[in-house]
Formats: sequence, C-alpha cells, structure tokens
Amino acid sequence: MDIQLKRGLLDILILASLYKVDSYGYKIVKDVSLHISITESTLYPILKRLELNGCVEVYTKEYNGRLRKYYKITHLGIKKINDFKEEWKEVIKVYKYIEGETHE
Amino acid sequence: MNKEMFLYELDRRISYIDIDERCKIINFYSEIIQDKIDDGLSEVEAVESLGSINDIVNEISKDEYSFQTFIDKYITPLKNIFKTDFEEENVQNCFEFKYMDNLSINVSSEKLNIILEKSNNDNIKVEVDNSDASVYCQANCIYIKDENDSFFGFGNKNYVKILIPGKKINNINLSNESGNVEIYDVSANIISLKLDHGNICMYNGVCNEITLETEAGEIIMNNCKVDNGIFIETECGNISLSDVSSLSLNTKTEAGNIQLMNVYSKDVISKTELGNINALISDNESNYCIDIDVELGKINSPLGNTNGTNKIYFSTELGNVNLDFKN
Repeated sequence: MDIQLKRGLLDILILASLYKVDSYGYKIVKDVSLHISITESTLYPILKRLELNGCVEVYTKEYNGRLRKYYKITHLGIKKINDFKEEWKEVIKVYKYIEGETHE
Repeated sequence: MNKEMFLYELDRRISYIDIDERCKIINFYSEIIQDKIDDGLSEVEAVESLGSINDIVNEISKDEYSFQTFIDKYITPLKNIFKTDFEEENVQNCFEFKYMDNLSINVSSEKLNIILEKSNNDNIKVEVDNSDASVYCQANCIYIKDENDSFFGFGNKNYVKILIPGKKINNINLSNESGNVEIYDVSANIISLKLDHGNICMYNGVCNEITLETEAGEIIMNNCKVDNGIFIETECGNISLSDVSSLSLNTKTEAGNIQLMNVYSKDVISKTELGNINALISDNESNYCIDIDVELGKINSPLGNTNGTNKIYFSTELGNVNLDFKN
C-alpha cells in the first residue's frame, strides 16, 4: 500500500479515536494499539500533523501535580471524519461489487 | 538508560530542530515516560519501551507531508465512482435553487445551528431539520427565516445546512439568537454574522470583508483569506485566528483571550479587558510600528520599527501580551 495512503489512514484512525473523548499521548497509544500497530514514535508526528491542520486542539490539565497535554477533536476534525466516511462508502461499493462478481 | 539521560540524548540528536518544536517533542516523551511509571513500570523499563532513539529521530525527521494532500489525492477522487445513486438522507425539508450571479444569502433565526458548506454541484441546497423555517428566493437572495421561539434548552440539535457551490457569492448575512454557526470552504463578497449566544467557526474561507459578532461565544477562524478587513467582536468569548490574512484586522473582546497564530495583516488592532493577547505575525518585525497598552499584565514583544508602514495596536487591562514575528 502506498506509504502516503497508509500514513493518511493512520491520521484518520487517530482522529476517530478522539471523537468521543479527549485523550493524552500515553492513553492514545495504549487504546489504539489494541487495534492497530502504533508506537509513541509513530504517534507524535500524527498528532502534530492533526494539530497543524486544525483537526485537533491541545490543552493542558493538571494530574498528580504535573501538567498533562490533552488532545481534543475540533469541528473541522469531525467534518474531516464525516467527509472521509462519505467518500469511503464508494470503496465499500467497489469491494462488494468485486466480491459479488468473484464469489464461487 | 534512565529518563534524564534518555531525554538529554534525544534533545541532543534533534538539536537541528527549532526550540519550540524541540520542547514539544521532549515534553511529549517525558510525559509518556512518567505515565508509564505511574502505570507500574520502572524508570528504566519505561525508557526501554520507547524503542531506540534512532527510530524516534527517524520518525521525527521523515518527510513532511500534508494531511490535505492525502485528502485531495486519495479521498476526494473517490467521489462518484459508481453510477448507482446514493440514498439521500431522510431530511425533513430540502430546498434547491439554481445558482445565479450576485447571489446573496440571508438567514435570520432564533434557535437553529447554522452550517454553510460547499455544494458538490452548481445548485444551492438548503436542508432544514425539523423546523418551521420558511425558505424562499427573492431578488437574487435566498432567505431562510426561522422564528421558532420554543425553548430547546442547551444542546439543541436543530440545524439548517446550506450548501453553496464553489463560485463566489455576493453577501452572506446571518443573525441568530442562540445557535452556533459553522462555515466551511465558502467564497463570498461580504460576510456578516450577528449572534447572541453561539460560537462561530470559519474554515477555509475567502471574502472581501467579514464582520463576526457574538455576545457569549467563541470565535474561530482558520485558513482564511480576506481582502479588506476583518472585524470581530465578542463579549465573553475567546477569539482564535490561525493562518489568516487580511488587510486590516480588528478583534475585540471583554473577558476573553485573543490568539493570532500565523496571521498576516497590515493594520492589527486587538483589544481585551480581562484576557491575554498572544500573537505570531507572519511578517518581518521591521515592517511594523508597535504600540502595546497593558495595565497590570506583562508585555513580551520585540520593539518593532517606529517608521514601519504596518501597524499593531494591542491593549489589555488585566492580561498579558505576547507578540512575536515569523517570516
């Protein structure tokens, strides 16, 4: 798979993981790596990109006497996910068509 | 390796990166190491679990690519591969109008959330959800009026969605009592929004002039290009602009903070009473004559140039001002 496509898909996956609840670096890796292979070092550039594109915003909250950085999805991030879901329906149609035609 | 040595070595290996970004990276890893320790790992185990510093540095230095390019290259081309029709969402009221020159849009509403988006064809589509709104077209202007006064409480989900083709339209006038406004990918002449309680978000907009006013709400503008002027006023909300350019920029709030990130303008005025002003201007400091008024807070700003042709005026009573420039 094209490396750019893979990176882009990872971006959307991380964005989706923030849809229902804000989270922080360590927790994002912990939760998401149950489903996809991701490490702290691959996560950092993704979060940076999402923040740069306005899809995610960052705030700090105190925890156990230290400051923790939380990531929160923005309206734009929600819109990007919805746009992606809408367009990706076409891919599912393509797959279903091929499955239908090649089914034994 | 312990935490201190790890962070020191990582910092050394990424010393070519500018200090703000470098700090973010070090803080990111420092926080994660601490979280792992809180989770039960020893300091050494936590550091080892991060992998080799080589791999970390490689990930950081990989070629930058744009999320938008990913969308443009892979997602947008997927539109309409199949000829079979999409099933339209079940929308209560859907109106469609043909595009006409000098088209204006006028919305006056009490409690709707208003969303403006780009249409994927040449027509203007108005979708109203569960409401007695009246939608009609008269003299090159599409009117949307919703005088429904019933109390929905907060978290009201009723909305009107207006899909506008990519061509430039004339004026957009929105007045709303309580409801948010979101504007995406729109190109217009004059945009004017007046809200009582509601947030305003505008992304990827292009226009000649824009006025955004709300009493209790936040105002966000991201990636917008305005030819003449931006005028923004809110009473108790924050104002946050990023990647915005405009000939003149006037932002005013009473109790909120003002944040201008990567903003370009020749005449910048920002006023707040209780909040802070943080600004990063995308231009050379030497072009600007800088005037900052602070009563009780701190000023962190370069001196500017008294002969500068561009102007910056910031004022706050209780807050701090941070001003920086970036070419």
